Amino acid sequence: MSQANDAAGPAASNMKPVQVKLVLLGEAAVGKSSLVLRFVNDEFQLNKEPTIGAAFLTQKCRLEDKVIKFEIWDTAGQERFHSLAPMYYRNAQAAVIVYDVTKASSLEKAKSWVKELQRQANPNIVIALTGNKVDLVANRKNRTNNDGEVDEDGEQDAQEIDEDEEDDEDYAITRQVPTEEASAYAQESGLLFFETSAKNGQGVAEVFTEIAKKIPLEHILSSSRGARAGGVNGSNGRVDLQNGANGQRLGGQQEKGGCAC
Amino acid sequence: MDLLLARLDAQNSALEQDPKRRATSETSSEIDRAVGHAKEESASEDVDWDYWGSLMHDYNGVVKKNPKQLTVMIQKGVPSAIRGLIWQLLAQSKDAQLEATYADLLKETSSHEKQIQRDMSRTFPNHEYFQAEGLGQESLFNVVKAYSLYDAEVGYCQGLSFVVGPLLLNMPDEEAFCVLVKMMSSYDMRGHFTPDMNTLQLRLYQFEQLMEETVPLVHKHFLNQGIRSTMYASQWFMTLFAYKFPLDLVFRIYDTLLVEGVESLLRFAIALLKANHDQILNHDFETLIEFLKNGLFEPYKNDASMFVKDAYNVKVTPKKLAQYTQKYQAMIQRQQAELAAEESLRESNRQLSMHVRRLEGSLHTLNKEHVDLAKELISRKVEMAQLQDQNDVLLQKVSDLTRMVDAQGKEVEDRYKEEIQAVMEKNVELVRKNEQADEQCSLLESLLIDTKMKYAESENERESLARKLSDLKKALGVA
Repeated sequence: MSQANDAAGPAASNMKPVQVKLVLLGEAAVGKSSLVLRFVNDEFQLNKEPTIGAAFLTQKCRLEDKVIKFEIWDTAGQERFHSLAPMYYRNAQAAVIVYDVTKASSLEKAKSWVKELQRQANPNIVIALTGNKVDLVANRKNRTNNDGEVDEDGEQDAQEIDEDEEDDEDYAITRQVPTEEASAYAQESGLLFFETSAKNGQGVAEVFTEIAKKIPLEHILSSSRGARAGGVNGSNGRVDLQNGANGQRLGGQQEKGGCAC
Repeated sequence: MDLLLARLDAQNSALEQDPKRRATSETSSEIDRAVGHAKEESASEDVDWDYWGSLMHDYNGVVKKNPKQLTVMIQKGVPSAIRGLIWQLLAQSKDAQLEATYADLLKETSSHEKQIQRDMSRTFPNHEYFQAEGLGQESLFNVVKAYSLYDAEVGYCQGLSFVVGPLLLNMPDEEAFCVLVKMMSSYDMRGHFTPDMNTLQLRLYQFEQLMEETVPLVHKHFLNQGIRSTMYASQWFMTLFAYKFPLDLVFRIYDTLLVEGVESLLRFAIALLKANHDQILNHDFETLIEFLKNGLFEPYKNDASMFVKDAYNVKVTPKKLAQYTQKYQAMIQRQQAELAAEESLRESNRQLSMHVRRLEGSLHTLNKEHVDLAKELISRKVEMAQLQDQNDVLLQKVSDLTRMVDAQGKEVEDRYKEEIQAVMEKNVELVRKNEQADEQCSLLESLLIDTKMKYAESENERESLARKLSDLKKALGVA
């Protein structure tokens, strides 16, 4: 990680980041805001307030020799706020559509978002379908796995999960959306697919890394530099969210991902 | 104050139409007791109890006599001990019938129940009263659920629970329900939560117009940065600032709103922008939204009265608001016309694209058919050439065979003649042999006749000899 941090240091500050506008969509209470909070601040807040209207956050991410800055609009999930969504996805280059793996209806809502984006959004938009809250359904499976032999990483995970379990006792932990079903749908619709836990961080960084890899960055650089939908001028970059804690965590995942977020 | 008077008139005319609905059902002795109790509890506060007491006895009379005094008192703040009572008084919400309705609604099941439940732990999650096991959460659920049944069009809208929370911190749930109903209807807040949220949109528009007029630099800065009021102010108006603001400020907003009407939200919003004027201009897009949501209340954190005072100093008249409303409606009409035009263009575009897709599809099929046919043609041609070759070979064979047949005919005839000749010769030979055999045969016959003659002679001789023998024997025998 230190290597990535160094690289993102002086060299990166000379380099103008590629701005990627990203929007989060999905049914109410599937964990959109929590997913962003995990990605941006590496935090988890139990009982996060429902988003009213929309929230805006940014996070920088390093991919190979480029610095990418995600400008994230986190939208309200309730159907009533639906009519506001076009304002946020209209100029987006990427969308993360979130559903809750313990709630089958949330996948249906996700599918309707996919349809709407394919009809109304930027035709080149990169869409990632993300099944969140896998920590609620992974507990049992992981525990039985851990009875046998585990590698070092596995042991760490098991510890975290055991801690979580106390909080989750009241939750129904039956999975309602099988991975295969959602993944098959994503594949046939041309979407990236992930399963995540905003609570323990599992898979969250990958969502953004893979989006960064798939986005035609050169195209964005040449076409939309400086002229962003939000009307923000080029002199920003004041928000440097690459703080120490964040860097360290993402460093561990960088081995798999390759994006030093 | 203009807003207050306008609202009072409306309330009074409503009361005249419905005299049975008494503005307040509290009896004088109850009020005295409540005020007395409150006085004891908050002895340290500098409160004009006489005023609040008389207000509770005769709200309409006191306000009519000196409307200005109420606004002055509100700017000082409603004493927290009687805040719940005053709110109900201001809202004229006391209604035994409605409380009974509320009790009935609690027994019913709302289709929004699951979603409401999901949001309960997420409403004021850090407030002690609304913790999972607290009474607050149950009351909150009850009021919000009952309202979703009471007003089916609004049902449940996220944000509502943040409006109810501050009420519940000041009064029991059935009373909070009645105030909520008043806020939604008389105070015209329903439109913040209906599916189309049209009043909210109007409010945001009025807010932007006011901004342009009162804080033009901020307005311009927002325009330059691409910040629109929906991005940050929806949650102000939908939750009456309760979503992020400290509750003591929120209570003061409620105090004012219940006196002045919902439009006072605009005054608070503008006051906040004014108080943070220079700081706002120093923020750009990325940090500004965060600042607008979480940073604005800082200047008033320890001076809620200043907050209310500043809000009161923002000039908002009903006339001005009506103008904005008209402007907004004209704009909406224009937008709708544009939208309809756009939609019809989109529709025809969709149909044309579908047509293009269909044509592309049939072109593709035709191309495929063409290729297939061309391939078949080629294979046919190849086949034809092969057949031609075969034909040539066969013709050659036929002519060879004809020639062969012609040649063979003569040969056969010759051979036939030869054979006939040979047979005839054989025949002549055989006839000759036959004649010889006949000759031999007649020779043999004559020989046979000779032999038979000789045999007959010898037979005769034999008989004469036999007779001689028998004569002899007889002669001998007799002898």
